[in-house]
Amino acid sequence: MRRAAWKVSELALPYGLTVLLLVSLWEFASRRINPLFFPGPTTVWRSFLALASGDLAAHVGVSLVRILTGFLLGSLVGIPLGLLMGGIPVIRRLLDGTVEFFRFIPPIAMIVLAVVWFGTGEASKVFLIIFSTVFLVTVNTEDGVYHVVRNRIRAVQAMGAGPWDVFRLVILPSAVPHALTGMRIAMGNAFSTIVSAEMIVADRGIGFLLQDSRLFLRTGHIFVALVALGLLGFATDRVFRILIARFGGEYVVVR
Amino acid sequence: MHAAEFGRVEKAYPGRDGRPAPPAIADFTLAIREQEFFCLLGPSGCGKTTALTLLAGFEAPTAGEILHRGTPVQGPGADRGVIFQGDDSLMPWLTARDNILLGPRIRRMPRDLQQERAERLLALVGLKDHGHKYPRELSGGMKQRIQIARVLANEPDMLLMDEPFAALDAQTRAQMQEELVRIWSGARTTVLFITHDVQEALVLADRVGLMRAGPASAIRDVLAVDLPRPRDRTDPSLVSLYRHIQGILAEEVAGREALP
Repeated sequence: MRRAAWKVSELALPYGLTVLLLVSLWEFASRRINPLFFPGPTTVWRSFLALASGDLAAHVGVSLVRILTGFLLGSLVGIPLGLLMGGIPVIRRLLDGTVEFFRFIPPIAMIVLAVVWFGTGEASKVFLIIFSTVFLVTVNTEDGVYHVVRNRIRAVQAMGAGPWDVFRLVILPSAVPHALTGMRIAMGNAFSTIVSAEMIVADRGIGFLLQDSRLFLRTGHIFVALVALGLLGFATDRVFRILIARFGGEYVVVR
Repeated sequence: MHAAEFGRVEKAYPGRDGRPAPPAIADFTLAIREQEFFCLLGPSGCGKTTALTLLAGFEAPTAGEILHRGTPVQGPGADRGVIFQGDDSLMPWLTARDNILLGPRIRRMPRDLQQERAERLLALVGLKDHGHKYPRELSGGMKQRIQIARVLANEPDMLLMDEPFAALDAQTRAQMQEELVRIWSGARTTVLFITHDVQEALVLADRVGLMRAGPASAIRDVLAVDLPRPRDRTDPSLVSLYRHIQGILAEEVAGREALP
């Protein structure tokens, strides 16, 4: 725990310096450009205060709930599916082509269909996030199963382990870091999917905020939405790095 | 009854493009006695590990018969514990203690007995204060000790050791050999120990099986090492055996190189 605290303080300084530098550059540049296109930090701060007293939290909350719901459901399907495909050759042969087929359809392309099927409410958004999560998590988990060290399986077999023990004691823990890596990439996809979906069909969410601000040419609001997205992505990725380091620091190098 | 018997065993692996490759071992016949320390010695690539892999039950022979205590080997089992060459068989996500307890947990041993066994084995291999460490925090020699303890936790009647000390430095290797002799003298489990190091075989074994150069390798000679333990590496009779075996191995390697 002491090491973790040390790490935080070690990171805080360079991050702080970078932020300070970026904000200074931003301020400097904004003084030379029409604020309608490129508002400075003070204008954006005022937009933030205006939005924060309004429904910024609601927009962010709605997007976050959509992402997390779809992401968790997608992972809940993707991890077992990947384990089955990696572990049982018949299932792999049955599903491999299907997974590869759907994996290359961009989730955004599914928006129209999602609305036709599930309406303009939450269900269509969650469906899109599941769609953008499930195949990535499946493929990465499956890959994790292939990377199991053969001698580890043999070692437990020579201790009397049956197929279920081999799965529980070797294959599952070996696949966890790979599954987490897949989830980490999927989380990035979920962000871009939800924003696009909300820009097209939604009355709430960060994507809606962006679209709405564009209509009224409120560039300050747009900046606030973008910063919120960046911060959310940063925070979730941190959580994943911590999880990966905790459950598989040995195999997956995260920096 | 023998601890293990190989009867005219052949093992061929599929070659490139599925074409048949020459077998790794062929017409391999050997009987290992109960409670003996048997070293299988041979030039690299002669199929020593193949023989061990078959007796462990990880793979099936393409011809011939393998018996463990008179029963045909059908697959791997806790009665034949395997110690692997590298350290990649240790679970990096488990501590030393939890690695040792893998076998007892598979057999659903009661919890209090598990802890007692783990502590006893950690002490036996000289790692009493290291049970809480992960493999990455242990040295090469310590990791091999954990492998030995992990196998002994299952009380196998046979230990199959595949060049377990090959990756260690000379100092650690000599120390591990002494400790293995000490542990084996206490437990008196049958050991099949694979090595390409002549001196290692002579320090450890009751009998040494010399293999021909591969492919299609088999046992060439079996020599008894009738010296009291612990053995002195400079003992004149050990040294003369060493020279004798080196001569045979040189002949084997030269014979292989003379092949077209």
